[in-house]
Amino acid sequence: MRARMKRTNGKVCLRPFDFAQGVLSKIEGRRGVTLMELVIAMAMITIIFAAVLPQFALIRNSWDIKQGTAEALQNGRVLMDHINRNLSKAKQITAVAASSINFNDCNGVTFQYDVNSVNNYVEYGLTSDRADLAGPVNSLTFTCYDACDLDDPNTDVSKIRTVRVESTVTNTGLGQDKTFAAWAYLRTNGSSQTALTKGTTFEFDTSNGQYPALSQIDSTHYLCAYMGPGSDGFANVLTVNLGTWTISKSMLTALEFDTSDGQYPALSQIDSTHYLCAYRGPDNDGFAIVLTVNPGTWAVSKATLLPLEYDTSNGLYPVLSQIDSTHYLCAYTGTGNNGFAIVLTVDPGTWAVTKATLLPLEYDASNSLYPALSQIDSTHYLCAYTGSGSDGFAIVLTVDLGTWAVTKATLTALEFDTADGTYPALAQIDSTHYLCAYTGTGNDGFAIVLTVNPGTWAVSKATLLPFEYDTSNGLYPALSQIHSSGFLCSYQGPSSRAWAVVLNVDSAGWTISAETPLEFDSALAWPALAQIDAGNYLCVYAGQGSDGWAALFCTLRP
Amino acid sequence: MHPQTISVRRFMRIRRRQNGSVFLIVVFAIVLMATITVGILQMTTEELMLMQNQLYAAQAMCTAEAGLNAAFAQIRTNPSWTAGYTDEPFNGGTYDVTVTGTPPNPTITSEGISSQGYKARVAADVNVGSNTPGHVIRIYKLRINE
Repeated sequence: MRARMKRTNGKVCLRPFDFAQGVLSKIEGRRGVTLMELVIAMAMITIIFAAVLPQFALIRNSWDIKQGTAEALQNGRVLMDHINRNLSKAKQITAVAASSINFNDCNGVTFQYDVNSVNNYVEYGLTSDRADLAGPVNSLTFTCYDACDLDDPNTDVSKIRTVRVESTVTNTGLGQDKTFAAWAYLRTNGSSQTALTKGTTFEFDTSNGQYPALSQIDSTHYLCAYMGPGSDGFANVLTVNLGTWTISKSMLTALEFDTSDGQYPALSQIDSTHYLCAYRGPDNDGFAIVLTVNPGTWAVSKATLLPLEYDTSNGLYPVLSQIDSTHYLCAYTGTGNNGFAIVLTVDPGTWAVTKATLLPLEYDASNSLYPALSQIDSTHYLCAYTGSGSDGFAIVLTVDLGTWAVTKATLTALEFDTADGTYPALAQIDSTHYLCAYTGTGNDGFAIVLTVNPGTWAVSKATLLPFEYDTSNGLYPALSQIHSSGFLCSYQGPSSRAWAVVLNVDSAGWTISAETPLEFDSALAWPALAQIDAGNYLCVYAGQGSDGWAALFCTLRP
Repeated sequence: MHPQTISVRRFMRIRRRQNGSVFLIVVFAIVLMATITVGILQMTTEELMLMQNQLYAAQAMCTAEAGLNAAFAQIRTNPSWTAGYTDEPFNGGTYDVTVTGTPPNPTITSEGISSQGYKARVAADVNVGSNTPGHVIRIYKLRINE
């Protein structure tokens, strides 16, 4: 009141109806407010707040929406980027479902994407140990396609190369959910699929080059023995340039290891510079000699002056299989076109070849042409051959590591084709199963899986009927394994031309299927195959003019 | 001095004080609006930066992929090609390609740099096929930004 009086006394004349004083009193409100004023003020404040508060709520909502959208976008991007990157690097899709996918990374480890059913987050990690990656998501779908057809989804994991990923990321704020889609292409191809294509060819002997045999020295050098001019035995080293993929021969003039006769040579590596060569020599007899390869010049020479005549009666179509570093099982067609087998011993000092036993085993006294060998273990060898009636036969031969005597593991051989079975070739699938390609009825190409019982050593057919991989022609097949279930088969196909095909063996029922065959030259007989690396193969054969030819194959699928 | 004149002056002074309240309200409103604007702007900028990060990283990755594909093209025609590329321009950025290992199993490494300086790296262990023409290249291992 003191202040009021001071102000009143000093500045304003006190008169009860003074206009200014009245206004002042009302405006300053220092005298208190009336109920009416209070009500009006509160009403005004309420109106103002009623008008402003929704704006605040709107702003808050807008903020939440933006934040939610940004989070959803970020989650979606992280998710898509992660999936796209890992699937691009993946070797193979191993399992796919509507909202999960399993794949092998480039190291062969299996990883998985799926949706956590508890919190709806996308999980990623090893199949047994996954962690939340991004989310939550309303949906995550994987649609798979092969390399070419992006219209029709493909669920065959061995063919999947493209994956369409679609995910709707939940907006945890007030905004809308965001849907993301991406296409991931598996850049790394770890599937077992192959695509057979041809490389360069090279004529290594322009005079004659029949019945060639191959043995790998290293990844770029291959010893090739063959019957050359005058039916004599020749050998040369073929060099494959891995940079330019061209073939050349190391010696301009091949070594003539037998100047009298040298047909149907077979080779087996002793060490990096020495190779045992068995062949049909003069008078159709069986001969064997060690060939030496100079690792500097890649020149071939004979390790001993004279070969061993291991069968003085007859020794056609010999095949070799290494038992240990000094002993080699040799199966061949001997006297009376019957089947014989003997162990040859190589002296690592003098490189002289001797017979481990005086007499060979006559494993088939009726007939045995074109034998093929495949090692089962150190003492057992599967031998497929053309037996009586030109039918296909197979038997297990046992080698006694003490006496080096060869015996038959079973009394009788399996007749795997009762109609026809010439020129058999063998390739091991696993310890008890062997792929046998041969020329069957109508000179067509056939293949069958043979099963060896590791207890009785009896041979049986894994399937009742063989698979006919070429219904026109299929002579002189040669086999080389590409992977656990795929085999490259080179043969004389339709019109006596050079063909090759990839045979796939399904271990579930031991059924065989063939991929599209490739015609790679105008003529071929008696091919031999050697693997260069995982996707490339060298094939030598008697080509045009019965000359010696070599060709490169590629089984890589990009 | 006329008493009424004094009263009017006082009234005007009081009016001026009332103008001060409006000023405060206006300042408050401006601050509020500015805060909201800055907040939204910050959010938008953040979103824009996220987008730019994504974009430039993708550009760098595409540049690295381009380098890898350029190397593949060279190797398809010449499997022994090992020259590589240095600062090869591509889409405003550049890529460097190095080829190590020996044919037919080289390792090709491509590093892409986007126009904004973002980097990405792609390395592939491949097997070059012997087929002709146009050697098949099969990737055995692919490493992205590792």
